[in-house]
Amino acid sequence: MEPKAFIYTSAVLYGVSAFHYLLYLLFRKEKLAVVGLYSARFGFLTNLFGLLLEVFNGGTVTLFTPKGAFLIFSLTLVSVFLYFSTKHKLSLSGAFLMPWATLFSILSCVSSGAPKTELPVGIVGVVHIVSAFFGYSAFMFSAILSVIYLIFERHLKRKKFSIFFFKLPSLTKLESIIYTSITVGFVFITISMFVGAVWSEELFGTYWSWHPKQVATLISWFTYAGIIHLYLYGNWKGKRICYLSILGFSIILLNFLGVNLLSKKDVHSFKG
Amino acid sequence: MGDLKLCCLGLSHKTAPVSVREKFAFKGEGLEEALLKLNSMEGVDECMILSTCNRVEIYFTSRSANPFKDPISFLQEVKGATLDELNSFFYRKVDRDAVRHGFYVASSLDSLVVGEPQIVGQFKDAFFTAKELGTVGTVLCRFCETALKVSKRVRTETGISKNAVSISFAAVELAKKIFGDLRGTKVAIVGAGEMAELAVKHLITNGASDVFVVNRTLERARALAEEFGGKPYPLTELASVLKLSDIVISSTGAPGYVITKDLVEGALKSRGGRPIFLIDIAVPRDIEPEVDSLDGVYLYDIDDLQQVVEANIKERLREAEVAKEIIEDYVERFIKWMRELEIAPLIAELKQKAEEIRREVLEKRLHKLNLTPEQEAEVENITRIIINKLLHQPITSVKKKAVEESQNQVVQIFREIFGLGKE
Repeated sequence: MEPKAFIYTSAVLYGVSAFHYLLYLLFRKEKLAVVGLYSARFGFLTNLFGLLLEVFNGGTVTLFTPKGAFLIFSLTLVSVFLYFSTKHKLSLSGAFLMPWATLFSILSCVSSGAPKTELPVGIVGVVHIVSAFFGYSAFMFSAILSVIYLIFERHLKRKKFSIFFFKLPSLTKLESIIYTSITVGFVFITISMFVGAVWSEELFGTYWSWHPKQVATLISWFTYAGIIHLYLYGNWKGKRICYLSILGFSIILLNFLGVNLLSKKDVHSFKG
Repeated sequence: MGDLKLCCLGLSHKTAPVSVREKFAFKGEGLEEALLKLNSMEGVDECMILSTCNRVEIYFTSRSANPFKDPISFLQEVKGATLDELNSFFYRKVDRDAVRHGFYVASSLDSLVVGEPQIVGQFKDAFFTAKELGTVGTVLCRFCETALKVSKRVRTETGISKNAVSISFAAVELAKKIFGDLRGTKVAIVGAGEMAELAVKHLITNGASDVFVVNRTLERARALAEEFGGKPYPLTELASVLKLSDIVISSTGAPGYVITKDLVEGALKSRGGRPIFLIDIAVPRDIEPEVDSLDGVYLYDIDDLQQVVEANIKERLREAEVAKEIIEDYVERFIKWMRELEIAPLIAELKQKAEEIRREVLEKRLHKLNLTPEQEAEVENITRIIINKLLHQPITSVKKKAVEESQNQVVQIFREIFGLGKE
């Protein structure tokens, strides 16, 4: 079976979901959010099948291609979104998050699925890659929620009673979801780092080799460790945790863009 | 005998002033007597009366060509209604309009405050009273049960009852938007006023745990604190109270600002990033407006709270539009059921007539054919099948037409074609 059909379908479904969530933002009709949610759920399933078929047809090495990476990114992002939005009734976040999931799944449609070098990925590699993307997705979700928090807070200050006022939980609740999402991301990124070191030892005979990706990830890890520390012990709460979360995600983005998309030499690079 | 009609004759806050509503209200035993009297009238088959402080409505079914004649003379007799009053304050609704109106009323779409919850209870009471007295039958029972079902769906599926529409509840709602769960939040009340007291009571009901009462005179503070189970403080200790409080409601009669920016800034430093919500319901204001520029401080004055209420009302109206879509579906289903109910005896009559003709013909002719019992049974079957097949189309059509068009006409044509209802 060809994974192509599933990958294209998930891009379309995510697009439908994003479109409905954006309309929900404009018109506040609950039905729109329901369509958004169900399209995201079905998109998640086709995304998962697409990814599994890719791996089944081409082996785990396909995860190490741009196509595989974007497939995992959209899948993990939507799974984080579905988890939090269902648990905390955060339909509104769909308008901010699903366009990104759509973008990533479109990128997976147009990206190359041919591996640059045949690396023995194995279980260790799969855990490393998948947990890294779960980490990125959780951080991205916390950054998106931080933007929503900042808008909502501003509206409360300015006495503006918009959809943010009517359809969001309290500021305190949002803050706690942002923090939870950050800790979830931190756990995954930590797992990814450790497993990555083990994998590096298997492949290159060394746990740590100061590769740009390793350095960038270490910086991200320290940044988030700092954010969690400041939140717990430095009372950096409310708007401050939001700014920090956005800052943290910009570092992740630089890490991803800089190393995976722009650098040519590194093993993580998508350029051949 | 004309078609069965469900009608509503009534007045509400939208059509009549309170003095008129008072005059026509039915209460207690008076209501029961009135119901029985109304039910005994010739043109009224089933009836119920919904009487609240904002509306008096008579729902009834009738087959009369002029269905409102009897209920109107009932009102003239029992309440001394004049023609002028009946024409200027009462609305008359029939069938689809009456059903829709009843569903709107039960779902609180027609209430003074859209989404208020009391009306469902009042509607239920009106229905049960009528049911006990036996003045409602198949149609009104089904109508009320559907209305209550619709109202429940509307409340659970739309946000029509959410969002506070009074100033003191708006304060609670805002506090919830900031702190989420109010359990464990600490409230300070500076000065005292009726609205501030009411807001504090709502906050306590919603889980606020500690109440600090600050007043210029400690005596007054003590008296109020006792009422809320809180602690009294003199005005001089305001700074330390601010450090402890999450929600501050101020309503002193002081001419100047009682809570200044410096005071709040000082309090914020020792709060570990926890926000503070200040409600200023005093005129002139108690809290320096610049306080609002501080991070983590949310200051709302009486006008802002009024704005929240207005926004909430708008939101309820927006949700009411969604509710109307839900209701429309039920209106159509109910009308369809009523029409089919009306047409059912006619269809039964047709089937009976066909069966009689079939039997008559078979009895006359069958014995002449000298058939075996098996063959007779087969002929019986064949004739039954022919009749069923022949009647299927007209029955389906008349059911469909009866729902779509003026029923009386369709029924009349149907009767004429098949020669029904004739001796």
